Amino acid sequence: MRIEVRDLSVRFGRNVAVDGPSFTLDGDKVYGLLGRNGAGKTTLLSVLAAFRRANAGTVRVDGEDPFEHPTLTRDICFVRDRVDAEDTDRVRRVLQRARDLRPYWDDAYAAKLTELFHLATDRKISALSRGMKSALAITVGLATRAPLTLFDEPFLGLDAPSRRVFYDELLADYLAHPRTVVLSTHLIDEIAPLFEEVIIIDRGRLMLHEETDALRSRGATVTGPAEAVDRFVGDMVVLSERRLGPTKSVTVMGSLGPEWRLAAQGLDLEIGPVGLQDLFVHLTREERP
Amino acid sequence: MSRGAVFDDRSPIYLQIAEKIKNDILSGALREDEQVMSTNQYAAFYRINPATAAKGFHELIDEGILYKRRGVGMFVAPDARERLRHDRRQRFFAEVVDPMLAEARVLGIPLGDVVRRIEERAGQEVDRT
Amino acid sequence: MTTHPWRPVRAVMRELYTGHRRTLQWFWVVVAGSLAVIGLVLGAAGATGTRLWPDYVLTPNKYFLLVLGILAAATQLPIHVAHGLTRRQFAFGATAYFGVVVAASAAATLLTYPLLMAARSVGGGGGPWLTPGSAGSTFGEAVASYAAYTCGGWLLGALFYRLDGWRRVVLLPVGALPALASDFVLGRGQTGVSLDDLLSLGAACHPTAIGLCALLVAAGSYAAFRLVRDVAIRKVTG
Repeated sequence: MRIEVRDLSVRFGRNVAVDGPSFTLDGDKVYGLLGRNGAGKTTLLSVLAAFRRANAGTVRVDGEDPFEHPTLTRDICFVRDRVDAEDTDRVRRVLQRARDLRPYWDDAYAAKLTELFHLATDRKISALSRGMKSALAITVGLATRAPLTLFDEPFLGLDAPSRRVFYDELLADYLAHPRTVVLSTHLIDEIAPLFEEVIIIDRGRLMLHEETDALRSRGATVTGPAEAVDRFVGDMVVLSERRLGPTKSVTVMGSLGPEWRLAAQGLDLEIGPVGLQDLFVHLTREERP
Repeated sequence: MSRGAVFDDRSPIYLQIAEKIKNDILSGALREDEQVMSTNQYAAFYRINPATAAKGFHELIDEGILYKRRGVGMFVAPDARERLRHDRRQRFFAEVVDPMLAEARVLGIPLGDVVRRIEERAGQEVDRT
Repeated sequence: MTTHPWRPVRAVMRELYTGHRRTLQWFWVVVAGSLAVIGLVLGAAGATGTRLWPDYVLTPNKYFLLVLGILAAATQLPIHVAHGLTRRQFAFGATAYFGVVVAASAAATLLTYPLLMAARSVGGGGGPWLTPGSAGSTFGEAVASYAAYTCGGWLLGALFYRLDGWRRVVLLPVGALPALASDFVLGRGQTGVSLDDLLSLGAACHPTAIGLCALLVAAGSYAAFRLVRDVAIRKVTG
């Protein structure tokens, strides 16, 4: 599916949750939507899922506005860490409802997932732990096989082994049934390898949208004697600095190719990588030097 | 060791994938004309995006290390091992020997000692054969 | 490729029925059971005509349907939208579903009369209370009352879900209007005053009353539809 967002704006009273981002997601890929708490990820995904309307701007899924669009909403699934059901419903009732309402539902796959997550089908939703609720929501989301599947931090409350199950199942099912997946998270390092493209939202605005590999190589740390570091860095974009006595460590935004590395060696400077998580932390910090 | 932690941040993942496969070919784990895992299998096993895996494989196809048979899969090129050896040999002196000599200098080890050590080892090699 | 033919309105009806089936069954078991007991007691006591029927069935049933209406708007709507249906599809499906439920409840209401009479004769006997012709007007009144209360519930649920803060507090009573107005029109209100008293329509009241109820239901449904058709689905709690 192709998703086009233009100048999207969503306001809650005086609070602007989504502040005019524009981007295009072209093709069936796994996209990562990164942002701090309150950055606007959930609101953005809600608009994509046709759960709410934007105040301004446009959203187009395959060229049309998904809001109240029957053939599009049928193909969109929004997975959060809560289950869309009544507290008194049992797990099997939730699965049965999805079976009746979702045209691409795979019952056998859902059964497999409930087993993997150790979900008891006769348990009431109210009796499930937080992690179990997440697991159930994920089960419904995956077995729905919607061409556009949106995950909003679905693994809050899942323990590490269950998260592994989720990553493996998501990847395996995506390989078997390609679709557009957008997953928002701040547990970045764990899942970053699954993302083909990454979109970073900060305070409601689009900060960047790139291929993950390209983004990963865009940061570097330079460590060594303070003046040497300063001279080497010159006017590169500095994301953060740290000092310990005469030694300075600077995180910069900019690809440092082989010539740079050789130069650094000559100056006794150490060039190190910056992981996606660290890059994200640096890019979205409150104060920048 | 977890399957997911195999790649680090030092370079783009697709290059690391290419490196891994090259190492496997050099060590003999992958033989010439042997079929390699499909990109999807690779992605699922190492928990990475299939597009990234595909990029790594294409890198190797471009370098002539792998070739593709339509409808069947990807295979190690017949001259891959030799080719890789040749490349590594070219880079050996620049990437391995020179840094070693630089390190020796930093530590204050006289070049003569280094040479003597090499000759000792060469002698042992001869004794073994 | 879909795994089954896509008929959303029917899917909604089936969904709602699956959820309500048990409750509806139990409701009618309790009503029928208590009527049977009352019938036996009346028969044994030799009681003659009273205003017991149809009020005894109408009142609980209309409040029961009110609650179902509230839940449909406040909980089932967001759940269905979360499963890929549009609000409009759910509204149509729910309307069709409740249409069937209202008609079936009215029919069941009628059937409780022979049940009560039979229980009474088992208990001790006694003549019928109502004339044969009153079956039609009772059915009409039941449909009108049930429809108004269901619609009232739907409107209350929609107001509750869409509004919050002071707006909800102020406007929620508006949701009670269809139900209260239908009581007034049909002469079954708590105040003891009815349209009948005000307009002195006499026996001709009934068709007029039912017509007015139909208008109330239409207006209430329209209002609820406007509230619901672009409502934002919030984070579900639970």
